[in-house]
Amino acid sequence: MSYAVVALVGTLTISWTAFGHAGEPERNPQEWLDRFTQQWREGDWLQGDDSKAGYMRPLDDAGWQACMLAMQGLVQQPEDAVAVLLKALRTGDAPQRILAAQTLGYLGADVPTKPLVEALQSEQDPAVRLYLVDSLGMLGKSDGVDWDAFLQGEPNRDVKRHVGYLKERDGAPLDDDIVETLKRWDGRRMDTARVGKPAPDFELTSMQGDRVKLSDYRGKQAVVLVFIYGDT
Amino acid sequence: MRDKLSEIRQLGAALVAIDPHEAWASRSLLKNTGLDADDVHYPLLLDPALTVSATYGVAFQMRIHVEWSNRPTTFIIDQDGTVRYARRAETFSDRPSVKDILTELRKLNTP
Repeated sequence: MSYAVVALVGTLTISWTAFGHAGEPERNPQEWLDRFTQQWREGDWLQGDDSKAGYMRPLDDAGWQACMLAMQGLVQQPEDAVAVLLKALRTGDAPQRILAAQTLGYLGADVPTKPLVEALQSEQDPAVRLYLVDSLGMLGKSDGVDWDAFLQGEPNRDVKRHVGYLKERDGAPLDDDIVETLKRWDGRRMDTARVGKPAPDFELTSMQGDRVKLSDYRGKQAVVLVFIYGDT
Repeated sequence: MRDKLSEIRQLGAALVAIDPHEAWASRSLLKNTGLDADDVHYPLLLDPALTVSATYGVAFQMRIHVEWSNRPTTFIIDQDGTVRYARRAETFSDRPSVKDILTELRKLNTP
């Protein structure tokens, strides 16, 4: 009997280490980048058909979680993450450059503009250019770039569209609250919405400016919760 | 989505949408479709930190041209706060119809 209990506890411990986000050890920025790279290479995330407008990862591909955790881990250590990400932007492979371009926008005052602008001019991968444009906007550091000249040489429609967004944001940097929310998020909540289980509660601000909690509806109304992409 | 709204409300349910953009971008995308914030008669919640999107398992799963974003997904949560339905899009156009949603909502109302 006691053997069975010990064996069961052993199994639980192993599965928790392998899959539990609570079990994520402390990592420095280089270790986060390495872990992301390892998980990216193990997955088959880039094997989708590029010609399709909307490519979906397979439902059982949990690799997106590596992206989320790496971004959070890097954003939590802005001082040390900047150098690691700028190096990845210069010398990394495409997935690393995309992660770097995406994450630098959250690192605020610690990010120098010049390496981002240089990378934007020499970068071959349109996804990296797109996220560099976004990040320059998020940092509020887009005024040092001649965007009209950039647009003339830019072949990719989506990158051009994001330059349009950047102009619309009119120099406003990313709200500090957004960065704080990402830093504070408990990774154990990752992918925990399951049919038959309590819906994970959350509080967000609406476009109309109201704070809304999912639990505000409890006992009153059922909720049809729809994740959209600007396409109302 | 506005068309779905009245029928969903008739069944006693609320429609809540979550968009991963910052507020200015969300308003701008809306403007491109000919609407502004006052035209949206349901809470359009913004999740630019992607923390709710990751909690609900939809973040970074759809590539729109070159950008990674949320997988279009619909959940139905009953009055007790329990998830009763989840539909995660497997292709770009894979969304539940209004009829699918109403059918699921009627199931909640049937003891």
